[in-house]
Amino acid sequence: MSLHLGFLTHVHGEEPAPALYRRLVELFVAAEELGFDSGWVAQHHLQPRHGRLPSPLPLLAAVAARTTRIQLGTAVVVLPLENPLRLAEDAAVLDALSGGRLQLGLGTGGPSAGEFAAFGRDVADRRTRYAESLEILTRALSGHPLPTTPPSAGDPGTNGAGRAPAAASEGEEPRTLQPSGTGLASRLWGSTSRPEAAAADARAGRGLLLGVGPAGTVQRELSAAHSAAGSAPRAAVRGVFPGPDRATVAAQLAPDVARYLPAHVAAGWAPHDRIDTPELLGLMNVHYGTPDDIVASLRADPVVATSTHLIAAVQAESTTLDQALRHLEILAEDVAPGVKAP
Amino acid sequence: MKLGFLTHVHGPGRAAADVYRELIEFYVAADELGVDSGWVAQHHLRGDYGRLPSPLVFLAGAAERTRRIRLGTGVTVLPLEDPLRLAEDAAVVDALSGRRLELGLGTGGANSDAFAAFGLDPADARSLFDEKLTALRSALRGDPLPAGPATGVDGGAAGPDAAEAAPADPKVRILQPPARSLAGRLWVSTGSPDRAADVARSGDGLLLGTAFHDPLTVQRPLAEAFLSALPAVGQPGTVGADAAGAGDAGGGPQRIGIVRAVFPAADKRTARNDLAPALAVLREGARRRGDTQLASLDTDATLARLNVHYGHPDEIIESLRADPALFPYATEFIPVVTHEASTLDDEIRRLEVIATKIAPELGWEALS
Repeated sequence: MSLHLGFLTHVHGEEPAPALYRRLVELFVAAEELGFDSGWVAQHHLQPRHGRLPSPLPLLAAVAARTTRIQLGTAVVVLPLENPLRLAEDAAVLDALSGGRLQLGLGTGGPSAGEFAAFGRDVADRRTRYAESLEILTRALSGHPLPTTPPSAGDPGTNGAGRAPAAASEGEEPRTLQPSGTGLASRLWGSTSRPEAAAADARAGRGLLLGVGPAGTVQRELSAAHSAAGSAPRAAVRGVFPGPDRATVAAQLAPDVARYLPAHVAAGWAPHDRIDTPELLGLMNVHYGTPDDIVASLRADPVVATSTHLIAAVQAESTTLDQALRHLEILAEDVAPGVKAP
Repeated sequence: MKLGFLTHVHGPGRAAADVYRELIEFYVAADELGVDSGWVAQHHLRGDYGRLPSPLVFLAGAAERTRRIRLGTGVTVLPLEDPLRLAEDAAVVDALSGRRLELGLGTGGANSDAFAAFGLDPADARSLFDEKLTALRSALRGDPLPAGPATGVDGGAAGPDAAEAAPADPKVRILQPPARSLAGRLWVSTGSPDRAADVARSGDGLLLGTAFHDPLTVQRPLAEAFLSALPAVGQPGTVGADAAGAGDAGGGPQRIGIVRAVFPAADKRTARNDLAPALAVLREGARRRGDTQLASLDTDATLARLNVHYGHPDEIIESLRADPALFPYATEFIPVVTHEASTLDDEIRRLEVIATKIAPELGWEALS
């Protein structure tokens, strides 16, 4: 099958930020040499240990200066915590710097709930704010004129860019996004957990990132809703952890994945909090073991089969970036040929 | 004294990708010349002139291609930023670049026409600036931020940067990655002597040199107000020496960066002819804004009004020495060598002349 192969990291690591980011840039350079089509980074705010990158676009600008071909993705930017017009500017500049290589994945920030207060935002409003910000972002990236008169006293908040632009007074030129970010509007990705929102993403031409929730139930429904509503791409985001055998890898991953068990119970995906590690790894769609084990389980993954992109998450909380690089090598050399084979 | 450069990132009619790629090449050339710092201005929603709305994204790219040159914003329009997001972006670029970031901040006078697009009123620029500078400084210093309900998954114990900043309570949120030293690399551009004094009291650097600020009557009082408000009063003449000892990080309490248009050429006539089309563009912009006074000037009068130093290197050395608000105030001399219609090769050549023929005569030594 023709499958776009990418990788993702949430940027974990023990070293100080300068050394960690240096290794992260080198990871992208190595991934490009290994033939990966894309590399994606997650945005996490105010995290000292796990999820150490609050600013994916500057990081990807550094990567852009060192690479020529690999697509540069965010999976995801927490849109409700961004000023959408500033985000549009940053994305447009990065897209120009990288020769049109940006893929902009967006999320509502459920996992960042604890950080909304620091930004003066109410986490309860995150979906409303996501919708408003997405509209502003999309309009800006589509070259719509922006308001040229200050908001009146009754206007709400800092999302004023969403207002309909007042008629430009005489001699005033309409303001549009600069650089224009042309083409970026078709490289936006959603990451919703609701089928109706997945369908809306597809109708708007946005891709869908599928990572959270059991593949056979939750993700299959999302994928079907997205697929039925349009022809935009879908990416299966999958933990991929090679090792000598499945038992060894499961034991290594156990402490890392245990922290996600309560959320899986709360969502109703796990029956109770006493399920074992292999069962939890299954619910989290993690593919692990020897390269042959991984090929077999990826080929059996119903969402991988109906996706245009496979994005391998190669770093768990205790995985170093050096180990992540080794995972990329194994994936490129020993797993990808088997997955792509007809 | 340190030597830098500043560009407003022009490029009429050209693709942004080409403009940015050439600007990175300019940073590479400046780095090789041993220039201490390169500064980019932020402009929002501009087509031909002022083409960079995202200086930190750009500087992250420039950082990858350079080794020593410090990377400055001159300036970031603070009222249009979320101060905590700005702190995060700055902290990431500072880490990526090996602590080479210099963060210049302004109220956005030249961007007042963009405020409405961000849902803001330019009449509020100063109060927004003050409020956001307080928040930015606090975040960079590692002060605790308001915390919401812990989600349990990622809050966790103090991380690998714990030696620099460790929240004792795992529920406490502080800026990540930590960038405490960056709080000592903030610079502020202002046109008010009272505010210049506040800049000194806050320990920030002062950026001077807006082309429309007359050196004698406007800039010099700003520099004097800054110096007289420093905790340990500095005297003109000692400033440069002190700053020269402040180390590569550019820190230290006495920081004054002074921007000047500097256009060396074979002789004055050549420089003037080269500048004339750019000045015409500039006057046309003034005419559209309703600045009929500037719009009516001829080339020579415009050069004088904008305090442009141009001509043979020897003439420039002489005119820089005679500039009433440049030496001895400047700890960082920041020439502008780009104009509205110049090419990369011309810009590199001008910077090379400044770095090899002009600045050494004024006491500058290249990074070696």
